[in-house]
Amino acid sequence: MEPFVTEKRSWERKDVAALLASKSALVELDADTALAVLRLMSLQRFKAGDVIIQEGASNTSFLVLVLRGDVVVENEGLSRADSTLLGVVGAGSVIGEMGLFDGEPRSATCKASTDVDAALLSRDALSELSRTNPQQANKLLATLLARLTARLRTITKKLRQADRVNHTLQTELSQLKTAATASATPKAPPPADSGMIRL
Amino acid sequence: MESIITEKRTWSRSDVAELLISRTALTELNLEAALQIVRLLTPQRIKAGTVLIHEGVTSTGYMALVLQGEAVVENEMSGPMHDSMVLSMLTSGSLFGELGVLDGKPRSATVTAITDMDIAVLDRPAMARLIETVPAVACALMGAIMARVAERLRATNLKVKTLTALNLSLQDELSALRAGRPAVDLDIGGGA
Repeated sequence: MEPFVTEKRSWERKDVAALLASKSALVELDADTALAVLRLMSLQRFKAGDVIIQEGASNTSFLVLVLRGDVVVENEGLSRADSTLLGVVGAGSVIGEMGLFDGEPRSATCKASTDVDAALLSRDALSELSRTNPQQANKLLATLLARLTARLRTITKKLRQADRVNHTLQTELSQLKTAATASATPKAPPPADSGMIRL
Repeated sequence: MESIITEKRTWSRSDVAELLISRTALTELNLEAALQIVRLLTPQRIKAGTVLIHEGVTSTGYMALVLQGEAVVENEMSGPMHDSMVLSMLTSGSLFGELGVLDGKPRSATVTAITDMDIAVLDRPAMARLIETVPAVACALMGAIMARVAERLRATNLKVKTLTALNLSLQDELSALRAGRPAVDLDIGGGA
């Protein structure tokens, strides 16, 4: 069996297949399917600081399985110079699968924070698998879908939290504003009127 | 061609297949694949007011295509101001429940029929049969569902981003008020 060779180390196919089937990557993928998928992947090496996926980019023709190293996933902020850290992912993680399926511009930037070895799966390779071995393609799709679904559930939870925070802030703000108006009122009227108010 | 019959009307398989590949459902499928999926769908008539999917309830594992009628998808929210947040409206050609058909996790939103509805259901056994008998079609269906989930993920991400930015500016305004400074006009990026 030919190994995957990157600059730093050579990966036995079964090592990579084990990663592919690991809990954090593609749950429930059997070793045979993982190996079949692996044959369609290409190895790539990224240096620390390299951008693997750029937010907004329209090249969505591949997904990435991280083999070694850490990848920082972040959103460029709407305002200020802040980018929102979405997470740090490591060996066994898959990134870029959304774009592969919907073809929309990349939603986040993925940057190598250490040197990273990764295996890339292109859309073409996936269609080839769908043609030649649809059963295996289905298993791969099911596991990718499970991951995506889990992420959707997580982000929906985040949305609810943000909504709750928003609600609290709005309430607090309107209370403070009411209080500010109330305390400002006695000062506002001229002295002649203050007698009226005391009545 | 056999048809799908609900109480109110008869749906030919090709009608249903066309709905399945309509703009709101799964545009990535071709008609031939859609027709093979339609064979595994079970028609169902739903009365207005019926809760089709209950948020938080562990999924029994089905997804459905709306043939006719309308439903509302909402998240239950805490707080006295708004008890629920409407996520979307479902109409003819919409698909719902696709998250639960595969992972069987608790439902992420509540779906309620607001009119009488006809729906066509694909449950987990039917999905399994599809994968077994016509794996290529199942592939196409799975890919199409992926695209929809990805689309929803992007939309939700954007909402979180917007709301987070809004909360930041509210926080700025709040601390300005607390510090006794006048509430100046704040743009989103503003603040002291």
